Amino acid sequence: MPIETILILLPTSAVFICIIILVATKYRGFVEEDHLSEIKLVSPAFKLIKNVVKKSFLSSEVLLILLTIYILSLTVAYTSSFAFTSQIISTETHYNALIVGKHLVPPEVVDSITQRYILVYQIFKGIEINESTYYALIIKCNFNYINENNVDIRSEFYRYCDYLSQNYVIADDDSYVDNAILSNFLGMDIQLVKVDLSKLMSLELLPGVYFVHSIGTIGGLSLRIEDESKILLIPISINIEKKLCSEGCEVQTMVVGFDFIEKYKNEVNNVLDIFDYIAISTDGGLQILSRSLTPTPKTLMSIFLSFIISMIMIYAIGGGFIEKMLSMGRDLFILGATRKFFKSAVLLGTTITLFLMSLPLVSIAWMGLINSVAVLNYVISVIGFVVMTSYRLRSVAGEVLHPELIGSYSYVVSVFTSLDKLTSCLRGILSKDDFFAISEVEGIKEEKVQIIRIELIYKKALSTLASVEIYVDRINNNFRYTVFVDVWSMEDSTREFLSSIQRLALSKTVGGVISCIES
Amino acid sequence: MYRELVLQSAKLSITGKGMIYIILFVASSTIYLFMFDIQLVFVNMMLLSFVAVLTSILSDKKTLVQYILVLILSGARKKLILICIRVYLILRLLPIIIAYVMYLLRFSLYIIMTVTLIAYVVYMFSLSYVLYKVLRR
Repeated sequence: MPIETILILLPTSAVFICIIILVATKYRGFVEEDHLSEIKLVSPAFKLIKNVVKKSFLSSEVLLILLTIYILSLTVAYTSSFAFTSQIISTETHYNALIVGKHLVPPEVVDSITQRYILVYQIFKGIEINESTYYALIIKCNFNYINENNVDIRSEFYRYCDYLSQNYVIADDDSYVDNAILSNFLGMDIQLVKVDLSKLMSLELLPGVYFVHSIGTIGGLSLRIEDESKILLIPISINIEKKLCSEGCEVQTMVVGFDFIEKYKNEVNNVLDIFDYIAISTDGGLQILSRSLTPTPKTLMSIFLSFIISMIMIYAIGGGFIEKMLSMGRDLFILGATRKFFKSAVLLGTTITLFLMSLPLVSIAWMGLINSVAVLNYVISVIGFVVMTSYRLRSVAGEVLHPELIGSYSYVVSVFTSLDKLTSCLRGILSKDDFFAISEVEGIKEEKVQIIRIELIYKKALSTLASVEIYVDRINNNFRYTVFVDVWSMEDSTREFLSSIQRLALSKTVGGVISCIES
Repeated sequence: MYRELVLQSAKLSITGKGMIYIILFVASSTIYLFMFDIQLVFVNMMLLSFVAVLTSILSDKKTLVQYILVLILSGARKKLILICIRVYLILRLLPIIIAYVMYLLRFSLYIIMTVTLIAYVVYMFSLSYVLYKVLRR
């Protein structure tokens, strides 16, 4: 690890720890002597999440997990390495290297990379002359095209380069453009020569990449200029590119290189700093190297191993964290919080904590002191931690902590209503109900208690019944009406569904009982 | 009696759930070390091994606390309790020490190996003392 990293890491960590201590001190609670703060209305969900964040910030388990993830992230950052995206295609080549950039690269830069080349600027902005559009290819030939007995692509360019070296602009035989028109348009004295450009049109440098203006292929169909009469070959010495692109235009720079292959292999890093990709001739094909970086297999293995190690640690220590959260959960369940609500609050709170804890790492990576793979590793480990916490919360909390279904309700009044009157009244009310049909109603008189038993059929399902029992007993001078509802079904209904039926039946019956007593 | 308690501590250390985590950690970290022969990776893995021992103790917290409390309640002396904790810790550290020593021997890094061993011994002694203090409280 470089010394600068440590120098940056230490103050950042110190500031971060100070913030944690300040936050922890602020929320530690009030002692008797302190003045209580003003009472504010706070959302219960927000308060719960705040508590989870506070608890997880101060929990030794989370701190140990974070320590593990931080050490692993720094290790991964140190061991990771990247390579340029590489692809090998088997094709016949007429050159040693093809370098392509989607912008204008000055000729001096190209000179610093290679010595023998053909430089082409494909100007995608059309030149409007006499209501016809022409497309310019600005070319620089930088190889000895007169003396060398070339057998590759250079032999085809011999004629073009010869004309271009004498400052001729080349157009196709069938082109309507002439010397006067072109000179008038460009505002300079131009010498035009017309040759057959049909060979140039079909010159494919890479699959889908042509010497003339092309923007690639779609479904095997290459998108390029098909009409050779629309092409103008302009020598670079005219310096026309700035005039053509005065209002901005799309330019593609292509360099067809003829230097030794080894030279290009050594220059790959420099080339890809400027250009988008380079294709280097190899035995029986072309190796295309793109500037987009991909992690090496070793880096991926490093991330995988660090993930495994962090998962081992998280699994080993996560139990303690879950226990801490569950101790809070048990209090919440008594207050009526559902399991899902509690689980969501814990996961959200933990995620917020881990997100806040990631800030030092992210800032160091952002400053470029460590590789950004560290952040990726952190994110992966945190996702693993959250998923594992979620799974363990479900398995530990399970059914035990599921809130009991609310199936009973008590109502105490001083007025007594006779059993027969109550039974007939309830029958009358429930028979008009939209959701339930009455199957059976009976009243039972015991010595100390009176019972009304009602069997309700839920109309929206096939075989779901609600058994309602109303107990009427005396407490001092008052009468207590206690309603119990039990739902059962022959269908494969979920617990939530049965719970909602139960609540519905309970509300209908309690409503009926209250209206019967008060009527 | 000393022998029985030492054996009991050893049994507790080996059969505990934390031992599985330690072995898994040792396996994965050793692969890591052999993949990347860089000194910084070794230092980081050593730091992680300290954390791993702590986590393994925390995962067996209930059993260990119960065991030490029984020893305290039955009138065991500080020296005996410390010996029991150290036996427990040594067995937890043993897979890590073996793996890392083998790794260092492969590259003939004898000085680093000695420093590592000293670091583990110091860690073991200090942790046993801290554990005793925490449990005694």
